[in-house]
Amino acid sequence: MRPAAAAASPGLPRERTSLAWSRTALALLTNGALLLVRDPLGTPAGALLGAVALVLAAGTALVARRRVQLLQLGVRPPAAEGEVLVLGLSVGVLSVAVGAAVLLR
Amino acid sequence: MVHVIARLVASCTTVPTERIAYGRQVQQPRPDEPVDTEPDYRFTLANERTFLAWLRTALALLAGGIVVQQLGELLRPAWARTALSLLCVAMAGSASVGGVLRWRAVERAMRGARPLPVARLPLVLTGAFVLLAAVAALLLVGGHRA
Repeated sequence: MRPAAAAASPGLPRERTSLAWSRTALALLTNGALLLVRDPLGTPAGALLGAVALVLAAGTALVARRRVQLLQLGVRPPAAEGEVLVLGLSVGVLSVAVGAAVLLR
Repeated sequence: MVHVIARLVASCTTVPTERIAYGRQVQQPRPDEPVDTEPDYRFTLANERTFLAWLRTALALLAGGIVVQQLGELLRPAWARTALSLLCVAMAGSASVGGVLRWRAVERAMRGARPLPVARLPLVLTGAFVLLAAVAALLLVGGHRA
């Protein structure tokens, strides 16, 4: 990137990215709360899956924090390959588990 | 303002043997030459945000599937409730796994300075969503009549 372009972009992409991570952690938190509080799938499946969603939310918040710290240091952010794989596949597995719980209810 | 216009004019008169790839100029790669360029960090972050948006779509669908299962008397018969809930949850799984695959494909395309791949998942998910909405609407209207 040319220096002129770097100066013209005062950290807004970084800010948007950190907000996107926070929103995703909140979405996971909502799912965990829904599974735990409403208990729609019947115990213990609902409680277990809710706990998994809450753990994922906490993990996402941690990744978000690490990512934001890196971005604030002005380090060129590396591609978040591991984070994307683990988080995306975890939500996929969570979906499958919720589907199985709905079916077996 | 003046140098913005000057840059615009310059970008329009770029030599055609060069091309603009993700915010910077690269030489046209030879077909046998493996390309691995580090893309502009803004595109890396944009790709990351797009993945997170897919993930939130998946989480919204997952929450929707859980709530549909909770509707009880509002949505009868029970098997339709289960079917709609399962459709939501299946869409959630597709959106999250599809988001990961899309992120990887875009990352590779950017590193190889290739055009971005075509995304098919939006079409599939939109079709599934129209089906979901139509069935839910029919069941809700039918439930009120009965």
